[in-house]
Amino acid sequence: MTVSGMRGTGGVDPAARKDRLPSARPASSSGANGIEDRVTLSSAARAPQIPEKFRGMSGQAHADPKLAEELAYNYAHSEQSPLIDLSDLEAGTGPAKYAATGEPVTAESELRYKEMSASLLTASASLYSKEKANGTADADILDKLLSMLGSQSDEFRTIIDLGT
Amino acid sequence: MKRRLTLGLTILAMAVGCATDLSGNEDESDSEDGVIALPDSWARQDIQASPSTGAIDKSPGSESRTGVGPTIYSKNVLYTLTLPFAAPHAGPLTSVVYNWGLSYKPAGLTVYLCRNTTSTCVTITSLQSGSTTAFNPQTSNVPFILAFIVSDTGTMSPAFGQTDQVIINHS
Repeated sequence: MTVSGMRGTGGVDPAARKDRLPSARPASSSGANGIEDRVTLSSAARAPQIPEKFRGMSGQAHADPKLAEELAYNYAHSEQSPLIDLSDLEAGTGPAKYAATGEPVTAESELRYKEMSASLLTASASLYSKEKANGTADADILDKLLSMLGSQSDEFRTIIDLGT
Repeated sequence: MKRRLTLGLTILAMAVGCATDLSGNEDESDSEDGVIALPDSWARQDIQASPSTGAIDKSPGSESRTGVGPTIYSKNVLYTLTLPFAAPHAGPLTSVVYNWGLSYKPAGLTVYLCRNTTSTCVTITSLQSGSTTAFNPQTSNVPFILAFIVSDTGTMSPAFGQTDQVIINHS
């Protein structure tokens, strides 16, 4: 016997769950019978969405307070930079390129990404200060910072090698 | 005469591939008394810092690698300093702290910090001392490379390399 569409079993991927919600449907709306429908997200769904690449690191930080302190501080105070491929430049066959896209580095693109990095850095430092003042654990601050990183635009995520 | 001797020693050092510390023999004020343009073929493009002679300090969770950076003689040539790993640290990176120097900063200078090869680099021109999390959580047991290029036209006075350092923090 196969059971499908079981409710209340837990372990639902929040991203997948979100995808299944009708896109035009607000979080709270009236159905045909006039009864208001509500969507309530579980604590798992409300948890910060840490990029896949950093989940192992986050796990380590939760088990090691000293590491968590170091990482939270580093992510709050280090600018996120595009990864650049110099191999053509080194060979004398072409300019520096963005490692993720192969697009050449230009003054305009450098300026655009610099502005994105600076904006993220300001927000990260502000979040860090606020959470420290609230007494939040460093590992949880780290998760919030990594989630903020993961919530950047696809373009920026790609260029800093976070994937899309 | 002293300047000619210094230049001669520099060329000799390039010829034998020595990582000789030439800092202190030239400063920004010296560059004003004349422009020396050397052929590109003379430019030392890569310096390999040897783990056996470099100052490598190891402590739990971090590793310091130092080397004398390249002297930049020509524009539009990529000069690199490779800082190889000396100990088999397997832990993922948590940050890389860097410190680089030149006798002066030529207009059009761009400085990069690369992990393993020159195909994965970040720009570190604006801060001579700083740190980055860009390579997290990759492994630390690979070479790190500092790369320098002056993108401009015309000739330039040599910008002498100074002691460069990366401190690799890993979990």
